[in-house]
Amino acid sequence: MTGDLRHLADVDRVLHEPARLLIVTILYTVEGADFLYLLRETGLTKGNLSSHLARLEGAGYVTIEKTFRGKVPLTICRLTENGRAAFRAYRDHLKQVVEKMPE
Amino acid sequence: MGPVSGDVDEARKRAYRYWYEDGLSEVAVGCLFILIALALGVQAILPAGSAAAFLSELAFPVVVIGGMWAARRLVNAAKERITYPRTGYVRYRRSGPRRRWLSALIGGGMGAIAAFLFAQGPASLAWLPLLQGLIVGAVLLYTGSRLDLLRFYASAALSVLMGAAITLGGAAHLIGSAAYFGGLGVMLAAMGAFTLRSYLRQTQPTSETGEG
Repeated sequence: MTGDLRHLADVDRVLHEPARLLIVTILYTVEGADFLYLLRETGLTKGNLSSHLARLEGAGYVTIEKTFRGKVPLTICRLTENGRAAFRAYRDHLKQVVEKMPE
Repeated sequence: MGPVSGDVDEARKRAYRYWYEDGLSEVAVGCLFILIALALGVQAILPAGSAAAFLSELAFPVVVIGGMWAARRLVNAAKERITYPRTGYVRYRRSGPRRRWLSALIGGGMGAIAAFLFAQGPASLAWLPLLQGLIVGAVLLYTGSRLDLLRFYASAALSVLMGAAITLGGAAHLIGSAAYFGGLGVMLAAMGAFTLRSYLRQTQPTSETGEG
């Protein structure tokens, strides 16, 4: 592997997964979103979405707040500042990698 | 892992578009425009120079600002009852300083142009509906291009056509402006209502929104 391509392996593996990347992209665009919105937008099952959110929360990229809207339970997900910084770093890293790829 | 809907870029656009998915904000803006049309219509029929005409002119900004405040509250309340239980809740980031400056610039620009026209005399005021059509059309076009929503392009075109038609029709400035805002308001409200109807048919409220 050349030196230039070697740092492809340094990619953030928490974000470098399609479903989690989609979740983080949605959350990066907004202040916060509830579980139902993420469920609909990602097309994941409840279990899958919960699992990916837990992984993101474990990495410190997402906060999950369980609250109520009236009597209806609500789960609000937000990207942390670490999560936003990680997303920007991941995006910039991938841009560099793609630019250096052979045609 | 099950299918992941849409690509990443589309997900970003969809998040912005989501606010307009239920048509409620268009219904609200349409109703606000109709309210403005009524206020302008009242000014038009009151005898010029009368105390009532003076009061209606003073009340106009209150009607506009109060209407905007009420529309915002009503849209939020309607989304709480209709939209969020069906397709989820999104909290948007506050617009940055650049967008706030841009909004202030547009508002200030509109005010300056209107003041200029007033200063030129009654004949210049006949151009007001066309000017209104162009400015509102530009805002709708910008929104449409940012969100990739076809109906905003259609609204923008109709806004310009309506403003031009009213100006060419030679209506006096208050009547012309009332006709413009009334016509566009009805169109936007109808478009929003149609979008809301489609949204309600395609979605169902969920009994819970908690984690699975």
